[in-house]
Amino acid sequence: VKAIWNAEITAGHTLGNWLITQFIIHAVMATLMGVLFVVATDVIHLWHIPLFTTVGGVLSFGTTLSFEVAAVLTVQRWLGVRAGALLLGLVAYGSGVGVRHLSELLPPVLSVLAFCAWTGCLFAMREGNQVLLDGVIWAFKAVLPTSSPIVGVPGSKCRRVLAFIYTTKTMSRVFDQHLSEMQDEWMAATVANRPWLAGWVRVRGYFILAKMVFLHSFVGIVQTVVEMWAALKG
Amino acid sequence: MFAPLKDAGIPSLSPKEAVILRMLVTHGDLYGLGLVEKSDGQLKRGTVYVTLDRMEDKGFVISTTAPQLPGAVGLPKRLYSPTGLGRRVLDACDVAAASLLEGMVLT
Repeated sequence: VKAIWNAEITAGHTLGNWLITQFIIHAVMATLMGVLFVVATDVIHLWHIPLFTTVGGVLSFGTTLSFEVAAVLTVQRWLGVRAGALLLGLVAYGSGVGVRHLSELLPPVLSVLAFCAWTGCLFAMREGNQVLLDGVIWAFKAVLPTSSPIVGVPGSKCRRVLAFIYTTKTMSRVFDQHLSEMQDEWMAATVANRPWLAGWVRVRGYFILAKMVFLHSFVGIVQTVVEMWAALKG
Repeated sequence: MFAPLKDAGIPSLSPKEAVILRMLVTHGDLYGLGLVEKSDGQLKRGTVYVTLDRMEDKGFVISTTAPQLPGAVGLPKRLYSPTGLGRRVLDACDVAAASLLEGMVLT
């Protein structure tokens, strides 16, 4: 069990902490792209050709999103989660700006066609598809539960999410300390073949973790408000 | 306890922080879980690390990563010890509390 746990800890450090977060980001991204599509169609004034607008929008939306997912996955994989998030923001911003500029420079129909062609070309790139496929397979393998007990170590996935949100200092001082204790207790219960105790340790540990997240965030918000109030007052 | 004096640059010490400092001064260096176990219910596992983090920012305690035993696995633990500032703040807190009590008895 120690060897398995060691492997999990090592794997956690190697894989980084972006796996769950990136799915949340992509959900937000899809929503954002939907909004961009509506804005784009509104800007380009193609409401009088509803079929063209719909087809063009769906095409551009789908292809752009696919390529962006691939690019973000690649960057996240090789440069880390923060670089991926930065790229995501830039891509979303760039898409919006691109559509606006196209609509200003070209006639409406041409601008939509150019936008679709651009995203279509990107999507048609073999490397882009391969990266997307690799990234999706890799992400699913890491996130979906398997029969291996490696995923049973409590707190490893939560840690990845928290590490994305909080600084290294906060992780090391606050959350890692609790997770370490929870994992030690879980380990002891598992080695002693006491599954009910291990389950209880897990449930209690997650509850305490949620409380810590709330407390830490609450304290941070209060401090910020107090500082802002003091600055305004001063 | 000294929160109203914060504007004057005097460090503030909450009751929980005072409990932690007192235990560290009394028992020596401790882990977070050790503090919870020795506190007789005054400290909870969900709050101790957030409080310790705040105290470390204020300079009342200092933490070091405890060396792991050979073959040990898992995330590294931190060992907490009081700083000179922490000790002085705790002493000042005790003196203030004692003088306040004395004043109350006299009146």
